[in-house]
Amino acid sequence: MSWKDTLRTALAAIGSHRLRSILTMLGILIGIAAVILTVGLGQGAQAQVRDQISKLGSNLLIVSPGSATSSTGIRGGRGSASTLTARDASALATHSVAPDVAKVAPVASSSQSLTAGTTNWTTTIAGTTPDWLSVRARTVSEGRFFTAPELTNAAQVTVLGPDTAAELFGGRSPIGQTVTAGNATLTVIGVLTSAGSSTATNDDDQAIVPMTTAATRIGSGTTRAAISTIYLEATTQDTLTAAYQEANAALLSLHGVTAATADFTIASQQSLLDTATSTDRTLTILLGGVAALSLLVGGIGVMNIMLVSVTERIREIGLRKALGATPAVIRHQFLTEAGLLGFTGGLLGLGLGLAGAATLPGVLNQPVTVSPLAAAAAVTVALAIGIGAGVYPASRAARLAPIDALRSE
Amino acid sequence: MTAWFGAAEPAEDAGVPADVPAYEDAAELPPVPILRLRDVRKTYISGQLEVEALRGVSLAVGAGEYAAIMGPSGSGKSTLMHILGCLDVVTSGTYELAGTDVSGMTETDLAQVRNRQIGFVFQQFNLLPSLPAWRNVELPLAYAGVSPAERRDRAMSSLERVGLADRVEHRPGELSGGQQQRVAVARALVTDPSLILADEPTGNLDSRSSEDVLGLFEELHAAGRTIVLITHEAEVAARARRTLHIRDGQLDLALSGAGAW
Ligand SMILES: Nc1ncnc2c1ncn2[C@@H]1O[C@H](COP(=O)(O)OP(=O)(O)OP(=O)(O)O)[C@@H](O)[C@H]1O
Ligand SMILES: [Mg+2]
Repeated sequence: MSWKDTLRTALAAIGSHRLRSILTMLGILIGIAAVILTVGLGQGAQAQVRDQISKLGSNLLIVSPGSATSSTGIRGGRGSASTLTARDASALATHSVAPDVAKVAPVASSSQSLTAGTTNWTTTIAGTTPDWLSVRARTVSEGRFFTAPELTNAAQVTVLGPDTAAELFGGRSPIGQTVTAGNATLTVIGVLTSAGSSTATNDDDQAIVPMTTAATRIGSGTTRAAISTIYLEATTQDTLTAAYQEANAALLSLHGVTAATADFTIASQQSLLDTATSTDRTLTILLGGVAALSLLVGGIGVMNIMLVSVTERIREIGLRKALGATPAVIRHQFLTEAGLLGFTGGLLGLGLGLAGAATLPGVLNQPVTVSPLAAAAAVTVALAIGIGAGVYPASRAARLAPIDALRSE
Repeated sequence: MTAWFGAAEPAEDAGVPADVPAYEDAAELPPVPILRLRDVRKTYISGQLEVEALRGVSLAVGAGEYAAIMGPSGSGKSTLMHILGCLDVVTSGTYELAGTDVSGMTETDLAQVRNRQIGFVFQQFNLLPSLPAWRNVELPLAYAGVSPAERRDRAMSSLERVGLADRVEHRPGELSGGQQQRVAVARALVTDPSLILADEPTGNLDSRSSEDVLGLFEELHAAGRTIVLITHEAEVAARARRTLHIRDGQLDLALSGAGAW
């Protein structure tokens, strides 16, 4: 019997129990759609994080307060204790201390209400150095960034993020205008170019000021901003490791601590990427596992229906055997039928998954990535599940003695 | 036209016009046994109970013979036919089909023997209800690996042979019992088998339809086909050239005459 005959017979058998076949396929369909969506969501989130981190620049090192080396693995006090100081930043900027560190941008940020005329807008005020622009790989679209002399003099200037500028000044050009922040009146000297879409942290809504200005003129006492991060740029990508070691040694000695009691953490773009990827991957595997369970249930459904089908068609099997069907032919017949149920369910599931991938980002505000490889794998898995579920029913059908099958009523 | 039926035995075709019953001539030749049973026993075991359905049956049927097997209900007729048709195996004794002992054969070999050498006609017709008549008829050819085009041609001429050329696309449910049984006969013929086994082929038919089917068997016999027909009706058995009587799982030699070896 040719494969075409086998396929035609299987299609006829499936078609003769249309509702039952559809319900059977539904199990596989839902499972495949769930797998495609969870994997797609995971991959989408991963791509988004990867995108954000690579925007940081590849020569970048990020120094954060707090230790990552606690024995419990919990980052003790990271971000909560302000162990980083302006002294640290200026030490790292000294060539003899850290020759492979090209640029240093400490950031001390606080939340402040800005006023321009009658308009109020609460945003993040970040005090930093002129190196910030290059270290964070940003540019100004209008005006200019502040200079080293302005940093030294604690000049009352600010560079606004594009969103902040729009909130405060609407369509008007903010250059040369003034905004008040706390006790200080700041002149707007520039507007940053948009950093592109980013949902997690809004890089386009902030006001950048010289660190000295932030420390001396804006806020006071407890509201005075502590340094939350020091961004370092290595001279080249190849000196990144050297820069890391120099910065690490310098900070350890400045803080008078050992590696075991370190009160700061230095991360590179790569290490951030690894952490983000591994957490996302764990989540994807977990969700994918749940979806795979539903596929397993779908497979059991196929097996169940195939067993019913064998019992129901016992006479037909007997007749086919009497007419010359060998056990192998009967086995292929039922395997084809089960495989077809799985394959069709998988194709429909892929369709549903793709439809979900097209509509979900709008609803969840999360990207969903379905790679052609994942799509092909999903359908292949569905086919394999169908065939796998058919093995036992098919061998039962193949083993039936022709006479027992013919005689049964 | 009838030459198509006679393809199995060219020796008989040569001298005998197809429309003349061949048995007078054939009776004079020593029949070549196509079936030979030697002391065949069949015991069914269901739970504690053992049923001896066949208790030492020995018989031979020659090539081109038309034999009827008669007996009361429960005498073992169907059991015998299942063994003759390689659908079931003997408990003891030997069965040779066309000179080959089938007892050592695998299920796959037996399927091929059934496919190539035997055509079945059942009391229950046993057509697949979802397939049109011609698809039912071509089924054995599909298992024989014949190409689709040839399958269709041969199914059509087989249906024409049984007078159903105008019903080829009908499904079994759209045919009368007699027509369904004729489709089953067409299916039994389509592989051009040397042996046709029929278990009460007229058991579910009215007298007119029975006449149609028995007429077909006579034509087939005339064309040199070996036919073994099982029945419990004397009128049906009388149409065969030889009748074997079975009672309680044994051949009744007195009634069956010298034909039973
Ligand atoms: N699968 C089986 N298991 C147990 N006993 C069986 C089985 N098949 C047949 N028998 C028994 O074997 C004996 C012969 O049965 P068989 O079907 O051959 O009779 P039969 O001559 O065809 O009868 P009928 O004319 O009613 O069809 C009966 O006693 C029957 O009960
Ligand atoms: Mg019977």
